[in-house]
Amino acid sequence: MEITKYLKKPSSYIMWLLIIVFGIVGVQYYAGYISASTAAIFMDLMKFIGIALSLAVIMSYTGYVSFGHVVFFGIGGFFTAYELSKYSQQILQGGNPYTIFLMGMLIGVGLSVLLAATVGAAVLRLRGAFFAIATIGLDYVILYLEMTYKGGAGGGEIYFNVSRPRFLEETYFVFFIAFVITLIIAYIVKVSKFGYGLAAIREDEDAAEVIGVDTVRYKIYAFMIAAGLAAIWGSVYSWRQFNFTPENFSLGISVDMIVMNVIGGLGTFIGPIIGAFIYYIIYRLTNTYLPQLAYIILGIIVVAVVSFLPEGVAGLIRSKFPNLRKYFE
Amino acid sequence: MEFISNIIYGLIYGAILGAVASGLTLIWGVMKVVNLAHGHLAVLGAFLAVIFYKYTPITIDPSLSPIIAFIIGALFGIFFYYTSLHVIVGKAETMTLKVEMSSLLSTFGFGVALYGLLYYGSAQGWYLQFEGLTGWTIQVGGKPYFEILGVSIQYSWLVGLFYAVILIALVELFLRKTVWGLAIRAVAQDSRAVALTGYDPVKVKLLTTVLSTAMALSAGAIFTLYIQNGINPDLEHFLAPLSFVIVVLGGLGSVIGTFIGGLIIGLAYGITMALTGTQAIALSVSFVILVVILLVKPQGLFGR
Amino acid sequence: MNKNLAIALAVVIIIIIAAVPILMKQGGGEETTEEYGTIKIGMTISLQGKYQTEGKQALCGVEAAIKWYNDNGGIEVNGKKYKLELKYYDDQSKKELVQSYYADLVTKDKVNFLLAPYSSGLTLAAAPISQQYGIIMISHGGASDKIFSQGFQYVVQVLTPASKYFESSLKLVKEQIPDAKIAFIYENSAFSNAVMQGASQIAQQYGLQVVYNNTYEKGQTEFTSLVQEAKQAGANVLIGGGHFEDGQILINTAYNNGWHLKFISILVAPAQPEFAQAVGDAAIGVAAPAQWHVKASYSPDNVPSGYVWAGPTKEEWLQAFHEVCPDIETPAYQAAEAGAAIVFLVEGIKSANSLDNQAVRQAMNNLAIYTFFGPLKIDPDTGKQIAHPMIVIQWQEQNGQLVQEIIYPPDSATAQPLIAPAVWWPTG
Repeated sequence: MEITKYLKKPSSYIMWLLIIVFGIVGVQYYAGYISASTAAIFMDLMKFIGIALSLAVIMSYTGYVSFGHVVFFGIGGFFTAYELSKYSQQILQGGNPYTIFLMGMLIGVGLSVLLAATVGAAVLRLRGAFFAIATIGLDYVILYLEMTYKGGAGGGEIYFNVSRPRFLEETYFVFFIAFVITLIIAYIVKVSKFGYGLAAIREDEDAAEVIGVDTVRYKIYAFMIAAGLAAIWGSVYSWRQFNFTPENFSLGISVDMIVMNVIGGLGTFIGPIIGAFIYYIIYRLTNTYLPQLAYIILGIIVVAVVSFLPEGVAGLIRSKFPNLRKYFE
Repeated sequence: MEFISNIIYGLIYGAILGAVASGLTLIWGVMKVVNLAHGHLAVLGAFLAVIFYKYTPITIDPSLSPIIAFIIGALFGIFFYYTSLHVIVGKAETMTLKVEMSSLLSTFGFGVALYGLLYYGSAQGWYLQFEGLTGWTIQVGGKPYFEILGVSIQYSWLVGLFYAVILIALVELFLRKTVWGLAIRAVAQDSRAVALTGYDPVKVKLLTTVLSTAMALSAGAIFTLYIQNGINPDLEHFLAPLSFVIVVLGGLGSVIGTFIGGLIIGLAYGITMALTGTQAIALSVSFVILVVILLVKPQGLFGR
Repeated sequence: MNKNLAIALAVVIIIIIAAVPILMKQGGGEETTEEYGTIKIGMTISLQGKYQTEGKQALCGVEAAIKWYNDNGGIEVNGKKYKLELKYYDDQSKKELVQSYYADLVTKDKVNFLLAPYSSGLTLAAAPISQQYGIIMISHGGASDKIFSQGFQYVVQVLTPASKYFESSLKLVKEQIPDAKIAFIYENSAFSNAVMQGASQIAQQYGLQVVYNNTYEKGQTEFTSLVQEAKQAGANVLIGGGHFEDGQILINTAYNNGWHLKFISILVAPAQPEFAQAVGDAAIGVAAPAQWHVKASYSPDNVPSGYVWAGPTKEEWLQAFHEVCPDIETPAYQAAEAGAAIVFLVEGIKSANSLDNQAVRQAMNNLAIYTFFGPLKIDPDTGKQIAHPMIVIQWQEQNGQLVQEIIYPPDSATAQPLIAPAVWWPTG
């Protein structure tokens, strides 16, 4: 199998390490050795890495900045919350919420992929900033339509209640499964032939066309994968919060995704992961010690990285330590 | 009746928004810098109007604030250019896709920092959103409004509209009638040609940034004349996306086109509002227009 | 670096990560006080982020009420004296932090009872923990009715639910404005929707005429179309609103467009002391529903029949408040409702004569108490508040200054309601 071959390459070691570490933490949490607040840090990290990688497939691998990428995150979350609140009576009477959760997630992911394949196919004809702006427009259209939804709590908000005796511990594993799926898909896309085609598009789209890459189809596939991954994270996020609000469509989440990719370095698999770790540390530290200055510091970091470290932290490591290159794909 | 009032209000609103967007069309159309800090710059201008009215030793009437904001904006533009644009676009001869994306990200970073600064500044009070031109109105005969056909119109809006038109007209004159304006327009058409004419491209870029920033701040102050209350950093979330819609609609680099684009967006808003009565739908129409224009006529109505 | 070294390094890292928490886990020491036992109450509160001001007020209110009980001999349960102890974390107004901190409060800090965080959204995020561990959680800042239709058995509310916010205002309209034509203009958010759904039902019940009903979106600045439409529909009473900025712009737009209104009552913004500073003369006559006001006169002397007085008097609570939070000049309603949550909890414990959550929850069903915050009584099935009324405050001009006065209900009013043929522009 081609896929198993990919999963044994040296560049996959870091991914396996992450999976093992986060898995051990989960087992320890379930067994009661780790407090809920510590586990929450790991869950946040998984979410940050997950959304960063979902955008990376289209932005970092293919070179198309999807500024409104949060639209897929929102759609995934909306349908999860919608289904869970629709069947709330069954859940309260002891029904299994996981089948309903999965159903909502599948609808959300399916519609996201469909949206990426249709509208996405159209806007992918645009290049550079026009594509970025068009995705913002897409996000706003869906956001305003969602806000007219009168069910739920009104104002586009949906509340629900998943009665599970060990909800928090189980949710860790829900996150973990989404994390493993995201890592493996994002990794395989990067190292496969498909990924090299995307890299060619990123370097020079016209040249890629000339050497025989089916650029139109490749771009659409990449966008569909990116959309699906973002929808998965929107879905599990909603599940954890017990609600959905239109804030899940806020461009602030897109911004998080973009900043993590930029800090980590574009064009690599490891970049968004490093970016997510660094961003999360900055996020926690500034929010804890300098909450008033958090945005100022963040903005300065982004300007500095773009100006003086255009390849990001991963690019820096790759150029300073050529030996490590095979691990840092 | 309601139809007429909605259309009139839509047009006034659209003209103000057109002014807010006009600075963006310059920097994006000419320098190919997708300035994601534009909305934050406009909000800064909106705050300046309040600050000069309430928090400076000398009270400056808000009806003069667009002028003050323009001057401060010009100075701020120099700072903006050298902190977040010079390293990326200063030396670039042509704007490749990569440089364009880098400039998008660095202006975005600048915008986030500016947002943080505005938030920090206004969070020192009790409620950070509680800012406005307290008690400021323009009254004629003891009333701040007049009625035409049963539609009431505020006098203060007329001041805002006046500035919006003046701003657009002056910038258009500058671009058409002065040598520097010609240089700026030449960059928009062919940046290498500018070097041949002997103008320093870096200076042209600096000038464009300065002009665009000054317009953004000035338009922010105009926007304050329009809403008067509720000035807060989060206004960006609504000004910036609409600015992009209007610029795309009007055509990159066309200042007059942006103004007309603003009027069209305002009109579309007013008509949808009158037909559906739902603000969410009226707001989403602008973005539907954006996506359609991008797909059908990406150069915009007045772009080349 | 070769491959074996990399693998060895990875294994070492994994072992360390696996071992650290296990080694660090220690048994918690039980502390005993001789004279007094301790009742631990846990909560998270927002000391940073968008609810920081409200959060600080609420925390002070809770601490003041706890101080008053502890200074007055604690509380006696089953023959033993107890003192109250508060354990809280700062949730930074963030939903994701709320859940983990509440889990920690229950599992690590072993608190006996919980208070909810500030706001409906955060309360909802914490509710599953209360449900999962069977611990009472008193909601003092979550007004949404939807919280109480989710089947949480241990969540109890002390503040007036959203659907009753405009009950007092509409009663006033019914009594004083016979030709009222009401316009509802409000923000499209969960909170305002819940409030206005309740308001329309009440208006219908009172036979009031609603001539205009529309919403605006969060963060929008264009209110003129809505105001003009309502004006043309002939409305002379404005009810609605949402939050801070939109409340200001709505009032300012209505004022500057020459809308002749007899009465205006909108959510949140006018209840803040800063409202008049923001909108100036347009504030005159603007009313707002409020959970409480420092001028409210609930005292042991005016307890209605069917209720018993409980907890500190307003003066005692205010004194304790100024002692624990000297930097806050005037307590806002967020402080009072949070303080009342402690009173309600303590009365529940006293009445059950037990610290068992189930017994206390049962006992709460039969409580009918009158406190400095007003009367309190809950619906036994859902835990929703059913007795506490909203008061109506209004901005009025006195000696050239704008002040907030209570205008409803009449027994605690401090001024006559200002209901003019036209509040603004009487000449126009």
